[in-house]
Amino acid sequence: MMVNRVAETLYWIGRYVERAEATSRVLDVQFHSDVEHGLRTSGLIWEALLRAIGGPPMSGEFSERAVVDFAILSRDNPSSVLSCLATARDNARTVRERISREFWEELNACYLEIKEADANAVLENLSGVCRRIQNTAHLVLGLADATLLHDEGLYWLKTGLFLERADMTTRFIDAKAHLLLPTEGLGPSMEHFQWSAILRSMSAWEAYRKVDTEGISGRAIISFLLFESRFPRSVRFALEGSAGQFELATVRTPQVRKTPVLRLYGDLINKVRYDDVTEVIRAGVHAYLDDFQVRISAISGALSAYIFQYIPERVG
Amino acid sequence: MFQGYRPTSAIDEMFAPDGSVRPPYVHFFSVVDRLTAPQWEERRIRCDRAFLESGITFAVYADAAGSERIFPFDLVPHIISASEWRLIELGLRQRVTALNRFLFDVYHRQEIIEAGVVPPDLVFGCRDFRTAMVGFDPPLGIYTHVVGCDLIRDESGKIVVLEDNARTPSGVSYVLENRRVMTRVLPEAFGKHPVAPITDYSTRLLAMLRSLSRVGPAGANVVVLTPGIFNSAYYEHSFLAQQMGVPLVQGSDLLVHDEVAYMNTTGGLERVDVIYRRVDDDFLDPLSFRGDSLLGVPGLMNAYRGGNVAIANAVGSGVCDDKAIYPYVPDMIRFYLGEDAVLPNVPTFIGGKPGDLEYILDNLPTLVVKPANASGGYGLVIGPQASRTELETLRRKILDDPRGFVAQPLLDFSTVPSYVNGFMQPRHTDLRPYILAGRDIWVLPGGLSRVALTEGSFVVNSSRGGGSKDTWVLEIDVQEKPGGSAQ
Repeated sequence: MMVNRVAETLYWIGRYVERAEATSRVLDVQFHSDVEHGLRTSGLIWEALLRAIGGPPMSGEFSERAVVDFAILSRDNPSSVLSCLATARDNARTVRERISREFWEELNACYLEIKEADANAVLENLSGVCRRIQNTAHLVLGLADATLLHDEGLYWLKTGLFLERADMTTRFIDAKAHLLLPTEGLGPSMEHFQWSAILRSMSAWEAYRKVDTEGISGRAIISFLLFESRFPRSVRFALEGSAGQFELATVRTPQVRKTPVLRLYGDLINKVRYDDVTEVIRAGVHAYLDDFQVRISAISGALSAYIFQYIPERVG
Repeated sequence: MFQGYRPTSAIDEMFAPDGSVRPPYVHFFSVVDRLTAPQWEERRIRCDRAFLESGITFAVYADAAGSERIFPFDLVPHIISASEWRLIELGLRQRVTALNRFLFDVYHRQEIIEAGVVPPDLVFGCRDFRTAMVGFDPPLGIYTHVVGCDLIRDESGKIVVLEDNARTPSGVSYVLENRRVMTRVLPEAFGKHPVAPITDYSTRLLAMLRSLSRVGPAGANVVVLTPGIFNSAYYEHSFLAQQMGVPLVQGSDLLVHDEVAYMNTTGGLERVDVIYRRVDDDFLDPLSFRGDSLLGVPGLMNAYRGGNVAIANAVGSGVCDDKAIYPYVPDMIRFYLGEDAVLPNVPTFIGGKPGDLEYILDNLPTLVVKPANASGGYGLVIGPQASRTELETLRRKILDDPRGFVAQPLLDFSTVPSYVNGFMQPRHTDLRPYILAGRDIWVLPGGLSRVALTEGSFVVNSSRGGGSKDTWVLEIDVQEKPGGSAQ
């Protein structure tokens, strides 16, 4: 059994590490697919992407430099990559007794590196920096699996990590898909380019190809990213992962504390298991995903109320 | 590296007055003297990097960009011969035994006061004397379980005790991390040295804590209690919890019901048996001590007095940590053990004692004055290095609260070479060994060597420009035959 505060801290380490990874992955793909097509990403797309990351609205011109400053290096934007790493690392510092030295040192070293990074150097090697952050997230998760005791601590970390992944995937699909659907008037090559970028920013290109029967189509890609049970970044996989880790973490938790959380997980998992893309289109992609967002934050709220901040009424 | 090194008037631990290398340092010297300055500098940088990545840092609060600094570490170790260590260890065992006997006595029959050895007003006037502890028997009858005694080598070459830290001494995490970094950055310097290993500290600490449990050591639920992340020793608290594999908790994670202490966990309330507390008495229980404290656990003293939870160090241990009680430790050793102190004290004048007070006031410019009840070098004034205004302020403070101050002569204690501004230079260095007292007493071979890095400074505290060094206790002395060491 684990002190509530410690469980909560591990859960948030998982969330922030995943958020740093997802943000740097999406920015990386956006910057580089633009280069290939000789385009400048429109302010509209940047705005949607940065909104998806979830920080305060960015002011001023959407230059590459401004986006790097704001989305990667800013200390004032609580959702920037640096802020995510800083929060994850500050949290890790308070639960050193629950994580391994290897885990801590990798996270700490990456934070120190990004903290010291100067904007010009980052711009010069944008892909390298984004890759470094993604690799750290993967390494940290790998180290968690390979060096932590497989018990409650690891399960809370992964509960947070998977929930964040479900959250980030829905945000990014929302940010881009509702700009692309309906796709009339884009022209086939542009449509292909934009949808491929979505797949690549989910590291989903190869996986999608393996199951794809329709080629690059908006409907099939949305369906894949939301409902594919075998793809680790799909919303379905992530939600089932988070719920599964939650159940492992709460084996010894009294039923009254875990049932309200499990009910919310169950409702949402039923949707990703049994809905199909027709329902998404009918409801409208944005409205459909918005509902997901509300439900995911309800799960997070219930975790806080029934597990992390729970005040025992009497000694039993 | 040691070309042109010139010791000061103090004894140097590495070089004898004739310039020859002292026996414990012979191997180290032969390895390191061959390094060039750039090679040494490169090792130093690797060393800093290792500390930074381990997160052994303190925050610079004034800096919004989240700057962190490492505690300065010097790569030249403080090396102690096997024969000298045997003496130190003997002295520390004797001292800690006497301190615990004294604490038991003070909270029970008070024989040492009856006998007129220690004046009653010094004991009962001590800020850390806890009436709640009178007549209470702590587990094993022990009060101070983790002790750090500050030692120096004086001008005559004797190792003497400067002060005892018997409440919540900190620094042991630096001892362990310094060694870890040292073995990685300067492995060849260890070469032929049989240096006593220190890695089992956390295992010993955990075993000692478990032995205090009312349920027996096997099922004991041990926790480390910290004031939280903003405490300057937070790194150490989390390090020790991590090394022992026990929960690190804050007051808000604990609660007491029917005189039993519990931890608020995801599985419900879980009983706590032993608390290794790193918070002061004042902040343990707002019902018993400071009512305005948000850090404590209401009712914890009742659980403790009810025998349902052990607390280390025991509440009220601070009585023997008081610098006005310290001068009486040799008398305690004689009173309880019938022995002379193996490690002598430094002559100390007590503000609360009439004859001493006049002496202190008449000799301020030659004395070192310390508040009786502070740690970390706070409020310390070095008379010979203080300005006239500082001395005047100090005089007024002493007259206001004579009991609150003690004074000692300024000792020109020994130096160890330290790399400062690109050169090896002699710097005053002390040593804080750590002693664990449970069913038996164990002394960590070595301890925290703190060095005053500023030229001419005698203040080793990290809050005042001090750094640290790795401490090597040799298992076999160079001049001893390998088979002939005492085992």
